[in-house]
Amino acid sequence: MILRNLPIRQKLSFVTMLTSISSLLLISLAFIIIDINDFHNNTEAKLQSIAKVTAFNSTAAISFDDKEASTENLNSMNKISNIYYAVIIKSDGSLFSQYHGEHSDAINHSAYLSSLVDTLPDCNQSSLKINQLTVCETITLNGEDIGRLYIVARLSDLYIELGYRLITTLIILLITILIAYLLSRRFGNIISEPIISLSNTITEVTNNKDYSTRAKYNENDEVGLLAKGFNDMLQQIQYRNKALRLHQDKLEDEITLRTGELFSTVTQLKEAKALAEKANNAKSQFLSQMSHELRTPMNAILGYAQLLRLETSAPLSANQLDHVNEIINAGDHLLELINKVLDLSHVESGTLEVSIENINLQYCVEECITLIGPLAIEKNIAVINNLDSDIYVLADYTHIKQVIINLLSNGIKYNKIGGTLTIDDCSQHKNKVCFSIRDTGHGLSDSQLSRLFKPFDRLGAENTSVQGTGIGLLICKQLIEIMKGKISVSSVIDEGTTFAITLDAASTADSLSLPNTMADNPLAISHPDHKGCVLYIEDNPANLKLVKAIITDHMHMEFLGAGDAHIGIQMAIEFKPDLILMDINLPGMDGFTALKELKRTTETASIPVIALSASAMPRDISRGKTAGFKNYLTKPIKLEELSLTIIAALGPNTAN
Amino acid sequence: MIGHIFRLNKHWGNCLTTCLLLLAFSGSTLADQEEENKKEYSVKAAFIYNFSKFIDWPELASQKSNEFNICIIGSNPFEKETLSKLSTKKTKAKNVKFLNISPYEKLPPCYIVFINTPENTVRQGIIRASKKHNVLTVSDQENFTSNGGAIELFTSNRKVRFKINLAATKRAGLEVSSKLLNLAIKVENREAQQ
Repeated sequence: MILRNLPIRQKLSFVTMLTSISSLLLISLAFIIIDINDFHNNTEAKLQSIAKVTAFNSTAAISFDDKEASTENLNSMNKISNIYYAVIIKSDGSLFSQYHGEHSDAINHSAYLSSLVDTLPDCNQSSLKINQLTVCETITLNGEDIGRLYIVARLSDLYIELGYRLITTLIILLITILIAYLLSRRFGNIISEPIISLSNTITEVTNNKDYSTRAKYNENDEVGLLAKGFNDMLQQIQYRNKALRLHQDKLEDEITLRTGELFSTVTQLKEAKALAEKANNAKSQFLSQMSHELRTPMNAILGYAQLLRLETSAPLSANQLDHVNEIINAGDHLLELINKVLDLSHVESGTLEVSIENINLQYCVEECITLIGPLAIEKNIAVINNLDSDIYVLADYTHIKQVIINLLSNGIKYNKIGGTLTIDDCSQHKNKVCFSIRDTGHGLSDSQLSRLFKPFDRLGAENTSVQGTGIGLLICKQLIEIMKGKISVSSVIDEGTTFAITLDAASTADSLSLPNTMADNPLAISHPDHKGCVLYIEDNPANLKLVKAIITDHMHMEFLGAGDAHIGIQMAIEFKPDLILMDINLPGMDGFTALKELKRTTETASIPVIALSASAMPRDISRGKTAGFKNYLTKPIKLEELSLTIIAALGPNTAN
Repeated sequence: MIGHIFRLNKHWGNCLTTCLLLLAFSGSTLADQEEENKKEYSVKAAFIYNFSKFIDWPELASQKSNEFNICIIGSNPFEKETLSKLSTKKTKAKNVKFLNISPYEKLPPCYIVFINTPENTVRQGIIRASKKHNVLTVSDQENFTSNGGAIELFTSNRKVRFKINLAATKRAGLEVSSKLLNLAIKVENREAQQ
């Protein structure tokens, strides 16, 4: 509907004009209809009266057959312009007299007369056609019908008059429309102006976002109320905006403050982190350095002590052998201490690498028992393994073994002489495997239990003859936790202590087969003599001298020594040794570069090279093996280990 | 009755003379003339009858007689068929009746008297008597109204016309309708000759 989109003023104009025009039209129509009706009635009445009079006056003329008089009588109708034909027909049907008005000469009379008679067979009636009115009057004289009078009137005058009226009506209509339009404009403005003003104010407020604007209004009608309501709303918005702004300002201040705090905290944290990392790196570096620096002199001490013990040309006395053994024991302990400290630092810095695999627990425990067997025999302790053969756990093989050995050796070291060490299955959940190691030692008090996993706290054992580092259990706990397991301890004074370890259970299907490492097999010691030449590249003369003694005196092989890598490579090219032992930290060219050089040179490419270094960190060992060293031995040198590795590297071809 | 016939014959003689004269001038046959004459008198009879309709007689309604007498004095010039046909009609709610009366009879109960006597004295006598008895005098004799008669029939342009002497009708106490007066060719208001 088009009207909907028009402005209110035009709507009002439209409605007002529509109303006035329609009412006026209806009234005009009613008047015209009434007029037409009146006109018809009047014309009919007039004609009928004329007919009556004429008929009355015609009686004598008819009676005396005076056609002239009758015609004269009828001719008096010429005063009435709309009568255009009149006729008197005698009772015998003959035409008596007639009157022709203007333009009626063309009438075909006989036909017209018969049509007249047909139209009004019963006289004293009238017939209305579109443009003519016919009346009939019976002419009677003394009750006797002597003839009929027909008068035909044209209604064109009516239509002319009707036309005049229509024109008048139209003029009035136009004037009314004009007046209605002017009035509606005038009054429409009264209604629409406040609305337009309000609308303009709303647009202004929307565009400028100025909520202090107020709509103006003078009336107290609905529009006035609307404007007032709008103003109230604006007021509320203004208040709310103010409150919001206040709140926002406050919030911004707060945010700025907090952000500043946060930034300073972050900066502090970063600094602290950097510091900690630096410290940690420094610690790792220090430990690594310490380990290296300690191992180098230990190499000489332990090496020569071992050589002394194996001296065959001038055997030591029993007393002397005893002293040498003491030196070796103390050295071993010192070495263990160094290793554990390194382990701990690795665990704590999170650089420990684990590879979780399926492990048969019973087999693993058996292996550990074998390793600590000599210790148990020494203290006459029965080790009882109650585990079933089909228990599998998810763990790192090396580390779980380290934990079990640690716990077993503790169980032996702190047990009574002749006691027992029992390994039991304590599994309770389907997906978890639990096993316990129970000794029959003195037991631990609650206060001792609470300090059990603290580093370097030996719970008073430092005052006994039992050797220990005080960090073994801490490493155990941390290793188990890395493998997603748990370790717990319970103890009864004078009865013993029980350690329980819980690990994730593994499916039995793909358990790891027995790993075969030479180093873990100290029982496989043999001393066959070998022919061959060994080149040792080492800058430390003490070490060089020690290894020369081992190779020549102990293994009866040829020995070549080089003080640095360059000399060593030249010697290797010249003498083509069967095996090269290489220190890593060499002056000028380090061991890795020297190895590359050797491998590149065709004369030396096939010679096996074994690293012999004081860098004992696992990272160093794996790096050495990937670089192409046949094997990687750490200092201090263990006599058996070195000799076995050399024999293995030379292979059966060189064996005699 | 014989006198009657005689008079009639005499009248016919007059007529014949006129007819012959007319015939001599017009050259029409005698038979045609006779036919024309008959037609003229039948029209005149109808006129006389019609006059009764446009004239009011005083105390007519109070008359006991149920007949409206139209008397003919002198020879009867009308055809029998014409008179008998008109006698079936009514006027003023009375039956029309044509009577032949002698000049010496009493005029009442005649309402209309058609005078067809050549004698002037008789005519004058009747005109005088008509004034007393509310009688309408009608004649087709020339100068009838000029001589005091009420209505004079004449022929003009082969059409029957009439003159009315209003003074005569007034003296006779008769009311003549204006419609009738409108048709009258000449209205005279002259006193009868004494």
